[in-house]
Amino acid sequence: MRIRNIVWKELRHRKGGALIILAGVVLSVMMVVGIQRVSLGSINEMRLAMLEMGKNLVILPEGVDENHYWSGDFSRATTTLYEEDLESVAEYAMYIHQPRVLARHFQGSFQRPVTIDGRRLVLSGILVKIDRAAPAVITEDAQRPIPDGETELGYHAARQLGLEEGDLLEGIWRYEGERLDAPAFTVREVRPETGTIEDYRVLINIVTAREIFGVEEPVVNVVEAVGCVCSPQFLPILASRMEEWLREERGRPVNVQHFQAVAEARSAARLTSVRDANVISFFVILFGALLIGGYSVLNAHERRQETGILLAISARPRHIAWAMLQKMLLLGLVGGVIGCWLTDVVLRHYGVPFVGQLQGAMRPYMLAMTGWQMYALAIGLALTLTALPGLVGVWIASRTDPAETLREL
Amino acid sequence: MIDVQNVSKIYGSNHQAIRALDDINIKVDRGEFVAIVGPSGSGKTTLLLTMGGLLTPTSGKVLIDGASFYDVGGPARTAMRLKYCGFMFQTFHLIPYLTAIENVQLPLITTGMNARSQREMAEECLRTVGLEERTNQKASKLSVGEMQRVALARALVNRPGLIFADEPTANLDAETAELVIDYLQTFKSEGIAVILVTHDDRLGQVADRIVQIRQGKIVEETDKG
Repeated sequence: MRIRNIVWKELRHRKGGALIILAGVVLSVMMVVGIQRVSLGSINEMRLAMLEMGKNLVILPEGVDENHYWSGDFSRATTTLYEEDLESVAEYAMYIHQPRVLARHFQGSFQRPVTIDGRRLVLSGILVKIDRAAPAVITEDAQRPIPDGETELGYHAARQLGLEEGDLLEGIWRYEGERLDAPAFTVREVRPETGTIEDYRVLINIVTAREIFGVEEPVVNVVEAVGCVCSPQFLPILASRMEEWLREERGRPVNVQHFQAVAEARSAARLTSVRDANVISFFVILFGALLIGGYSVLNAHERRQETGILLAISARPRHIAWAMLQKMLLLGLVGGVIGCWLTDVVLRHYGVPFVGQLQGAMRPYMLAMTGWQMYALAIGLALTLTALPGLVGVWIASRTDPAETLREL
Repeated sequence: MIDVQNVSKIYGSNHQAIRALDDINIKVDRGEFVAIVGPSGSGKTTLLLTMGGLLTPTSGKVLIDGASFYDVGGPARTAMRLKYCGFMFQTFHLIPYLTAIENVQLPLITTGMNARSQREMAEECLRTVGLEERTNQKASKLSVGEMQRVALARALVNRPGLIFADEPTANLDAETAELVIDYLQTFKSEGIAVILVTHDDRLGQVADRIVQIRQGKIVEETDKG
């Protein structure tokens, strides 16, 4: 028999106390891990949403900034880009060793704010439509132009116009008050709601869009990189180099935006709520620690006679301390594992994934906390939560005077 | 075997000081059966605990085979206790959630001995006290008499030269008390020194020597040998 056998048997004998500790650990772990995962999850979901919009790099003409871009206002554009610029930026990306940034990742569009029957919308003539379902694996097949005479509507554009798939888009089109001569379009798709400017887009073939505005040259006024997975750290460098190169080498004064920065700005705002969550976590941990510390002291007193007899017949104080610490660590480990498992069950039910469960290509953009890291953190927390407050009980038990204990009876 | 030299024990300090032992000298050899008797509060248990290495005296020495119990550190004293001493208590001090054999094994758990050897030694001791049938019974399920026999087996398992017993028959019925006395006499005949504190006249009758203690002092020593 070993000390650990006594620990195990004592745990089974005093189930009530063990269950209190386990409950304390499980609840603390669930609260802390749950709060952290929900916080990280919400940040990551926001980043994912940004990425799913497909624009981690946007090349805008001079005079247009990201605010104009988000409002679909290209009226201040002083210069315009050309279709050939798409090939150029892809070649440049290759030149600066970003092999996963290919021409097929770039979507050129010709955009203008218009009103259709008085509704303010964004006309977006696109060169090709890139299937964004799996941006990391965009193939050439995933790119297809919108056929002439057809349109895809953003969620709110469709609702405002009262159109559904298969309906005909007819109406009075205006640009800066001037009436436009626009043909009728069949609605081939209504896009799901995103909560962004995408919901207000009327997407048509770029050639048709240019014809509506009487533009003959193959111009685009925004180039969006859709799902070009390059390192998040490299995005700002890529953006500034492209801007410099397009401006100086190609004579295109542009404004290259990387929307990771936008995502980060928004995630920074979310971090405020994470800080609030951390304060709650702190109090949960404190409460758990007090509960466990209290139990360990009570347990040390409860086991006083056993401890006394063990010290009298064979054990040294360090054996007693180790036995008690083993028990606390065992409870911490079991409580931590149960806490992680329960948290996972609950959060899965509410659809909060671990980063590790997200699509592979998205991971570089996500806040770095994978499943095993979270589990390791939770188990570490549980062990600390039981071991540190438990030390008070360990100290009391190891200082038991056997003679005094034996005389008490 | 054990030599108690000028041992005094004072509890508390200054005007609250209580002299529990006052210049005690006693020597016990192998195979000797010594009963310490006296009224309550006379210092019997204090003397027993001091002799057993569990209570540091205020002054004096306790030597076992020439080695001083209290001139060594805690770990060495624990090792000496384990090597030389077995203990029996009035209330048995068994751990209720362990089985009879596990309670007997307790003195061996820190020796580094493997589980099988531990178990064999414990089984042998349980056989000695006639409890081989109750090996795997939880201590809390044993009768009072069985508990004291388990305690006896536990006192023997480390093969000590000395058994200290504090009122070993106080909680037992007459029949079981006789049985325990028989076992103690058997151990004595095997060369183990038995030192016990008792109020039981029967134990006094079988002891080789009776040490009477009063107010911390030995007032009479009767050698029946």
